[in-house]
Amino acid sequence: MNQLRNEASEPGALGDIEQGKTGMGLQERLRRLTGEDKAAEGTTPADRQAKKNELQKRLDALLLHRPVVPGGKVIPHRQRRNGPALEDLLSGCEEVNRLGSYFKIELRREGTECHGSRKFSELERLNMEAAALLADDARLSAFDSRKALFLDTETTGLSGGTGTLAFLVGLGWFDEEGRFVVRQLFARNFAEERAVLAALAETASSKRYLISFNGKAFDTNLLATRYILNKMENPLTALPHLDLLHPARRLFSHRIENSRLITLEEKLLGFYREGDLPGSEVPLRYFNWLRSSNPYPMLDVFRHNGLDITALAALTVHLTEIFDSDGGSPHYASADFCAAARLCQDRGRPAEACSLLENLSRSSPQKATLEARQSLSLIYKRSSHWEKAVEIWEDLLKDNPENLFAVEELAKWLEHRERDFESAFRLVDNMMKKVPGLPEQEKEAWLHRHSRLQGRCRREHYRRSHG
Amino acid sequence: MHGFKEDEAGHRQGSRRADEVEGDSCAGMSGLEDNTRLSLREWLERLERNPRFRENVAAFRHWPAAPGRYAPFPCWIHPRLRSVLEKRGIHQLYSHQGEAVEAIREGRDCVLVTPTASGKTLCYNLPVLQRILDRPETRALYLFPTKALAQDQRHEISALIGELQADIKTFTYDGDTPDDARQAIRRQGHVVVTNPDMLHAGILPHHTKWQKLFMNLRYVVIDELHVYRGIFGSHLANVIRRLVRICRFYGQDPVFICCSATVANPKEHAEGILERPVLLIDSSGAPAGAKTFVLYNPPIVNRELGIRQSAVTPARHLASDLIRQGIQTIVFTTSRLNVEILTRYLKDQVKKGSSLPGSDDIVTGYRGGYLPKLRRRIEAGLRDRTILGVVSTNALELGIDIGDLEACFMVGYPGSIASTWQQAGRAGRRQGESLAFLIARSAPMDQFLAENPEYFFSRSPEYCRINPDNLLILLHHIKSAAFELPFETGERFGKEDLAELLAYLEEKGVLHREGRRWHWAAESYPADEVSLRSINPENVVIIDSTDSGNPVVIAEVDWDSAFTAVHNEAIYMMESQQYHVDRLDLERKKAYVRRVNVDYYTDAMTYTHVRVIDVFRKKRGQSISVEHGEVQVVRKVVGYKKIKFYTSENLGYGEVNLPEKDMHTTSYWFTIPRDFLRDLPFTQAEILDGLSGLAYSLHHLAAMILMADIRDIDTCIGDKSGEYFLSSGRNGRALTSASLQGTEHPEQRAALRLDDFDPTVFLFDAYPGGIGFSELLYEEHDRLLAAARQLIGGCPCTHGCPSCVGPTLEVGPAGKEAALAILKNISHEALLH
Repeated sequence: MNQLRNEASEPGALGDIEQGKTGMGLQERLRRLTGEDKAAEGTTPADRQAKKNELQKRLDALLLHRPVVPGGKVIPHRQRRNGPALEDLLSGCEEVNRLGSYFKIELRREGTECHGSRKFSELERLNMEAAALLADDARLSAFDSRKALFLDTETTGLSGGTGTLAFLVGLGWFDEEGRFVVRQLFARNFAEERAVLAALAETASSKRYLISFNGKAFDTNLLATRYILNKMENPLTALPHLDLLHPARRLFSHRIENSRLITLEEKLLGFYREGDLPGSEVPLRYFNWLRSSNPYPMLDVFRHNGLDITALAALTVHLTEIFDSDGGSPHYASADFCAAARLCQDRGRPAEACSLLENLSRSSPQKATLEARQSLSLIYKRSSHWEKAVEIWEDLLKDNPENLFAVEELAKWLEHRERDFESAFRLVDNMMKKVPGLPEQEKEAWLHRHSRLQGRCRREHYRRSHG
Repeated sequence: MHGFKEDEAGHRQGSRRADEVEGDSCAGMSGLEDNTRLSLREWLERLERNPRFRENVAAFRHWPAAPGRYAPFPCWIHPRLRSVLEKRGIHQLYSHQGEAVEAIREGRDCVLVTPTASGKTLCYNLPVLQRILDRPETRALYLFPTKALAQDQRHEISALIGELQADIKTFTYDGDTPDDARQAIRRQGHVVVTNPDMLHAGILPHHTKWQKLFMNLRYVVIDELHVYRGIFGSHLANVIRRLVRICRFYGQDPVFICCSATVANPKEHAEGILERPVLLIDSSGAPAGAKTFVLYNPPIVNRELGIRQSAVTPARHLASDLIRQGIQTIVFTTSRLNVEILTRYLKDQVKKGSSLPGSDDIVTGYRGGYLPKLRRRIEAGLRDRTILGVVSTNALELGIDIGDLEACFMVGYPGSIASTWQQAGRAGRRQGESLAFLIARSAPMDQFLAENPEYFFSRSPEYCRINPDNLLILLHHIKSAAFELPFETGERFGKEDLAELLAYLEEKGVLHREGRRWHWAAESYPADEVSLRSINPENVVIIDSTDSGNPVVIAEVDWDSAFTAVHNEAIYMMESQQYHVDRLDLERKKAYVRRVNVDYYTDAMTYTHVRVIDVFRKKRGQSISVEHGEVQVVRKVVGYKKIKFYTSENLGYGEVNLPEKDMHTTSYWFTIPRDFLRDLPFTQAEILDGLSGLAYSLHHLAAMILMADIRDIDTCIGDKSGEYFLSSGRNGRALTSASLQGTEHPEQRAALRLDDFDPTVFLFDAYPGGIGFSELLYEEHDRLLAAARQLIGGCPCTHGCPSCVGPTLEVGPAGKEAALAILKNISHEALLH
């Protein structure tokens, strides 16, 4: 084979009249491969445009194998315009640091201003124990609300990976005068990213912890990637992080259909955004900005991000305050307290759980649900506050003599603590006569308990009469 | 595509007919009736004396045993590593292992080409583990083409590490890796074992999460390098370009270690994939046992139709006989269906009159669809010899450890010389007598080899070809690379002008240029848009709606095959069950089928016409001009034939209305002057038959020479302008004019004469942009034609058969003669090897 190959490539051996590849341009070859050459054959401009659109579709089909994202068209690069500059439309200015320039937008909200039902001043009294509990990070309790950095980014995509840029970093914090500052760091182009990252690092250096919504899974991950790509130290890795998404889901999922920030904002804070830009449209607005420098479509993006930051602050208040409230608070439903108590229980904080439920029962016993009383009784039981536990069980039985939970707990208490087998047996025996249709899976346990108690009574009897 | 269909249909007919006429000509071949066990040598000696067997043997070769050559352990080997190896009975290295570990230690990129079971794995595991013992932060990345192989190799290195009692972590990372395990793997895995697809879509686009790995990546192992050829290889070369680019970002320049089966150009291929000079280590020091290779051509049972006895028949007689002797045997077949059929045959035959206990379990099948657990059990059964017979697809061809078998049957030529040696290597891996037995089918490649065994034995195996700069493939990877890191002016990626490609992508709105940098500026995740393995990642799902309440997905076909395999009214066959296609929904990519039982199958009629766009190279062959260049290929499925089983009677036609497909690719072609055809003593129709017969055999032989799948290339007969082409339709083979196609102008059609143009035979790459096959065919033109001349001239059939120019019924009674007449005038009677 080698031999033959050599012969074939020897000039003239087979009367070669080889030519080099003809001088066809790369673009031209690409157009042919993708079928674009036909477009050039169109005669009128309209004709050409129509064919180009057609081509665009074919190219997308050939090259992208993905549907075009609906809802917008990429502006051609050439359509740059001489419109107003960013600073004409926003309270912001160009900033310069050692890594270059970026655009800074800043807004200060007075403490008396509101985001829905919450005032910014409420944040000042942030319950840091509660914040630590929500974050499941004890380090938080050492700080106060002025050390918090609220964070939310706008990005060029949601798919993650190294090709996604956080072009807008929205930050929020409390200043010395008790005002809430919203600062947005905007990379007007890819090159400005480094300056934005440096500015973020600078702000973060004076703060002690982060508050975000889904930031653990998304924003901080993405920023970590960006710091690596720019070979810069990531200032966020060391900061404790309260991500509100999961606690919000824990506390309110029982009454809120999804855990999107906007939904929580409406249902919990009573704040309704008007004309808010859907997050899915953000990337395209930025790509168009890159090509056109037209600031108007970007205004919606800044507004959207600014609202997210203030919503974070208000939501933080709402989530932490539940631990200080009683059942009378207009902000919460009684089931919210039960959910909060469950969270405390799961985080190994029975005392907090107990006080939440006690507050609930004390301030509005009518609202204190069956679940709350039952949970509370179990906390008492676990902490050997038998008297309080028994009181609840007896109350529960008074309200509903067929409350199986109360019967079981009382019977257990009588049998194992009081060793009053007689009463325990009577309780169980009564119940079993009254409640004929016990659920199948529970029936066996009840029958077992019944016969065990019967036996113990008999033995007890025997001991006493022969004792 | 058309040629492939014919082959498939021919094969289908072939096996059916062969079953029908299957004699018992092999049954008594072994002549074993008593219960004495024979050794493999005794069995072979007896077989050699059998006159019936000898009649059909095309070649019988014997190689004596060869002793091993050894090298001492290197002086730098860690004492613990050495003692672990010694405990395994390894007291020295084979010479090639010694050479490899030193080269790798010195940081040289290398490619190892040594036989199966010559200890290739140790060549890389030893230096990798040594380096990790020396510097625990060291990382290594192993790439295997399949998940099963990756698992296998991870077990192997884990076992070594276990015995070393070292804190070295190895993980497989693939689509099955649970999410919660991934973070630990990224941070802690010293050796990460994965596949190119995962590297492409899961690791590189997230390289920042793998910072720890990339910052310390010292070794990249690419095993089974020969698998990465054609499209897959062209993609891999680009994935490696991206990997190297990412490593550079983290300040690393890892050492690449490749292992390959024997191919003609391992060094060139490795250098093509890696784009750097590579040291070739190909002199095996492992001992080899004595080996016998038999090439067997089953007897012709119908000379008229050129039908031979099915290759399955001798395989089942001989293999079952060997298994009954207690000789461990593997049988390779070319289809999953044949695996099942042969397994059943062998189980039955081994049970019959067997004295072996548990004889039902000593034979088993093995193929892709089996669950991993079952496969592991079979592999273990083969290693401990509780399984004496296994029937497999090429799934067992790759490096999965199944121990040393004694005999290997190949039912049909595996498609390449390299694969054949790879499969043959499954028997007699290190020492002792072993047998490899290749049984030819009726296919042209098989028959060519049966007629020219010298070609097989003397020739080096095939070339691995890749074309990493195929524009479409390159463009996909430039997008993925831009997603991973912005491109900078002056950077290089591939051999095309990067700046121009980046400008093109900017125009398309996926990149954004700022000064010297090009940034990814789209929402999408480009790695998801490309599949490394298939031409078109889109598939059509086949849904069995026989039970209307419970539709079941039974199969998938790739986009291009869907047009011919599951058009409306087609009969789709799977595992011998026929399905009628009720509806092909191209938009939703679904084909709805219904189980039926009919006595016919369908064969799609397509027309293909080719127009030359640009000529890259040109030369004079024997009285013809031979060219290579770019072409436009238009293809359309126009209808189908219903063909009766067994008789191949034409039962009728149907129309199919599917869109035309248009593709630009590279092609090789030669043009025969019309004057010269006019002088031949044939009618126009006969000459057309001759030309199609010629194209049929050239297509098959080209696939053989290229080590390519027959679907990787396609053929068409037409005219360079694209005006005329040869189509076969309802009225038989006819010349068609592209401008008249679709409109019914019978009078004009009838007027078309061969005199109007110089017919051209095109063989082109069946992938947009081309993959480099046609260029090699251009270079191999003389040899290709000489091979065709020898194949057709030497074929014992009377008027054409599936082994030479195609079945008589398709090619016409004079096709073979005409093809040969044409060939005699345009080719040399050259030596083939």
